Amino acid sequence: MDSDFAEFVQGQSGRLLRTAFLLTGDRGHAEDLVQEVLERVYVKWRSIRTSPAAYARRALVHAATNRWRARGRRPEAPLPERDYLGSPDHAETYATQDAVVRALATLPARQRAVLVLRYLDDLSEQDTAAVLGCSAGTVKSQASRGLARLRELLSLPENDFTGARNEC
Amino acid sequence: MNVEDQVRTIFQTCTDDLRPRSDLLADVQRGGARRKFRGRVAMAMGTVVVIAAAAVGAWTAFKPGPTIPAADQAWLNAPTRGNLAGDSGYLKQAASAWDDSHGKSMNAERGIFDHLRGAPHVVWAGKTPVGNAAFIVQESYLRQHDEIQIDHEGSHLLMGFVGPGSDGKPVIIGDTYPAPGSYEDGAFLIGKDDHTLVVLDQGKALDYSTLTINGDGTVHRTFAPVKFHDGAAVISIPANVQKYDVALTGHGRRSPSNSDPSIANNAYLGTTIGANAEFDYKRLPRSWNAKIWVSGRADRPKGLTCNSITGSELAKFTDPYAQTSVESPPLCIYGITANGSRFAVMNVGGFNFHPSWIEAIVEHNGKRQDVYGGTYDKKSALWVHIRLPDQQGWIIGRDGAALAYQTGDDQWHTVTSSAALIPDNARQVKVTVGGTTQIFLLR
Repeated sequence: MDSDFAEFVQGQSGRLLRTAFLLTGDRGHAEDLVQEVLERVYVKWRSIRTSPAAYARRALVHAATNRWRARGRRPEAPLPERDYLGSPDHAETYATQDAVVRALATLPARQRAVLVLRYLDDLSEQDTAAVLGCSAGTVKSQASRGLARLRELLSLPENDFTGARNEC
Repeated sequence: MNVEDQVRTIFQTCTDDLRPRSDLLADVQRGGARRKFRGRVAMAMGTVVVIAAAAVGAWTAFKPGPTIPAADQAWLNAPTRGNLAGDSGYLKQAASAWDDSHGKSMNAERGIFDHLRGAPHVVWAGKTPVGNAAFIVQESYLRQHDEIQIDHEGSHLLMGFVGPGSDGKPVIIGDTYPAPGSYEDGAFLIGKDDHTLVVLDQGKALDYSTLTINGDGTVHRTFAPVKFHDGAAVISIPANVQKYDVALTGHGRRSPSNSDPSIANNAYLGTTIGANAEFDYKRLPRSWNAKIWVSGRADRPKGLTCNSITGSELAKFTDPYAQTSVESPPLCIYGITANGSRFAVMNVGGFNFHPSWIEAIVEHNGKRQDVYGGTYDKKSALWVHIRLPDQQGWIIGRDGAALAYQTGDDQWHTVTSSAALIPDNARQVKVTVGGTTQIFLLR
């Protein structure tokens, strides 16, 4: 069991961390959540019938939502200012990552989760719906609203967006 | 590129640099093993839990069904405890403060006050050295929606934390509702600088702990039992302890658990009511995320490297109860000295609102020692300046800076990187950033 599980952690922990980071907006919280979720997967390893990766992703999304609740914060409450000192190149990267995190934080929890699952994890509408326990129609409408909001908050151009690599 | 592709690209590039820490698997296996043990203990204790449910016990949240759980009902029915239980004037003021607070609470948008049932009930009220305090509960019907996390739609017990206002009258410091998988608030801080802890007795033996940071950068927690009396405990926290460094845990345990009660107003994100905490991060910038080899040798003999520093070696500089993330040290300056000592200089600490501090791990003849390099000061010209033992030199560094050092010969020796190993007899360092030059004295 240990070698299978170790392989699972090696293969999935990076992906889970990136998802958790966009869901929570904080590297430390994301790491805590990933560890918490992987511990739960460890406990249930032998009895998980579905894909362990899907199980872990579902647990992560629910745990991330609960974490906002546990601190009594609205998802749209402002994040702390980041104390930054560094070179201009890093400053631009940091500022844009910060803008994305703050923009996501203003969205309702489910909408945020839909965007992260669809556009970071690249899940289909059906798979996203399965993770969130809602219909594919809800995923579609939440994604549409979420994208519109992000476009506004991040001032994304209407089309011909290039140079994305330089944004972060 | 359409907006979907734009967002996809932005998400990917913003998370590209995230990597899990190297000791994650070991920590998960340890934590998972502990969870398995706790699960078995809970099942073994099942019959005891059922028998005890009729008494006033832990504030429960997970029993399915639309009606309030029996244990929660017991809270509503139990007589008020504490030495203000007979002060009807205070109890009325506390209830009134609770009623008036709902519109100011962040939880209002979750609708937790929309379907209140019955009257609020003070479960404990008492005098403390810094004013009167109370815990107040009220039943509420909570509906499921996107902004709330509850295990079932139905009746739940809300809790409010009542402290002394500036005029001495009760004010609500925060409120909470039960959510599965998250910490339950069961205590709060009052008084000047929030240094008096009030803990509700929920039938579970607890310890409270405070953190001390030692002069060499190591940290340790001091634990003491919470002594309940007539429904609650009132604990004075030492003035030199930061309030975010106070924690509650199950009696005898020395690592945090989801079952530990949390303190309503010592989370760095603030409470549901009132202003958020002022953030003043003193951590070394995470952007200086680099492993810098400073020995000027093209070959790098095997030995102490950044990746070889384990979580257990860094554990003495970290706090598992930290409210904010325990700083994963993104910076590592490493190398080898003239006498073959290998070293890795890292930033540690930086959790809660503590500054980062600099530690060197030096390995010589198979033995490792820690060398403390002081706290990071963002106003200082030079961020890293740590002297290695046995006159093996200084490690200096600052992200984005041009550095030069001077020994006794009045000549400036330029270094070619943002960090360097310089001779032990170096006296000062010239630091140039953005066209501004400052001199930092090493001794």
